[in-house]
Amino acid sequence: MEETDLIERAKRGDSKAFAFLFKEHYPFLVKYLIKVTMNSDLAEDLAQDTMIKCIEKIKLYNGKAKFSSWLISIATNQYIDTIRKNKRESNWKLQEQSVRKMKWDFDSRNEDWNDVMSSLGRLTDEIRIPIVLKHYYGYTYEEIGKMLNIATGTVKSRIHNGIQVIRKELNSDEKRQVRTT
Amino acid sequence: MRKDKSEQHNNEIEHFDEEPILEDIRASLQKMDDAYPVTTPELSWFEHMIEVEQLQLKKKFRKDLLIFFSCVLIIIGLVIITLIQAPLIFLFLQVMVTCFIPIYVYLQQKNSEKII
Repeated sequence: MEETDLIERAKRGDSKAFAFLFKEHYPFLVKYLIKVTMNSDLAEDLAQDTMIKCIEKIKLYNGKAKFSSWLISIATNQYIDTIRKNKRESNWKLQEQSVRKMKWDFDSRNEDWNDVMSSLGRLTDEIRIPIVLKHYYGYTYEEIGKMLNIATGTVKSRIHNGIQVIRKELNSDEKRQVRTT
Repeated sequence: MRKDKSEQHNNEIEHFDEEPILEDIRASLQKMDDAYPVTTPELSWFEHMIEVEQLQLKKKFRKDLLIFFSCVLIIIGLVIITLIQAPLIFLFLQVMVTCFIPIYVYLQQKNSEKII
């Protein structure tokens, strides 16, 4: 059955259609949230919250964007809401802990953890999210602006500044390595 | 025209300059993707979650509807009681509300113009 038919059935309250839609998009949603939050446990919790929100708002989905894009924008807003509920300081600590845990996960699986990942982890969410959406998922600046409810210019400047920060950090790391050798 | 060309040139330089770092970012994000294999729950798990949530939504909708109709009944009851028991107060309230609405709309418009 095609996705549009499933969405129409879901709008009429068909739980089976909803289940098919969610099962299809679940890995995509969780993987997106892992990259955005850098925390696999939080990503799974947020994926569930996103699905619940989706059940509530399905009648508002107009089909202009892909269903996956719609899910991503709901997930992003759920995450932003979660951050806003916490204090700035506790968010910063949580972020640091998440990155440290992710690094530990990588080490324990004998996978390479690199400086780019550390730099991405140090970026604030409002900068990392547009970078992930633009340079991994390939959304346009306009689409990202609509997803995050911010102006296109703001998206551009956040992405540009974020990349500049990563580049600077990588350059200083390289210099430090050269000095030590 | 010349400005457009130089802007385009700047953008090209910027992108050319950024390309290796963008490639690194993409590769790192891909690594994160690969490092966490996601196990998708069974279809029945999704169905159960959806049914529970739909039930909750129905309950919430019924509760909201009940609150709405209770408010409507209370307001209409008060209006009827005032009309029968104290018609002068009723008339006074009607005039006040009729005058207040245009003033309120005017003030709202003025405020929104200020914000823009």
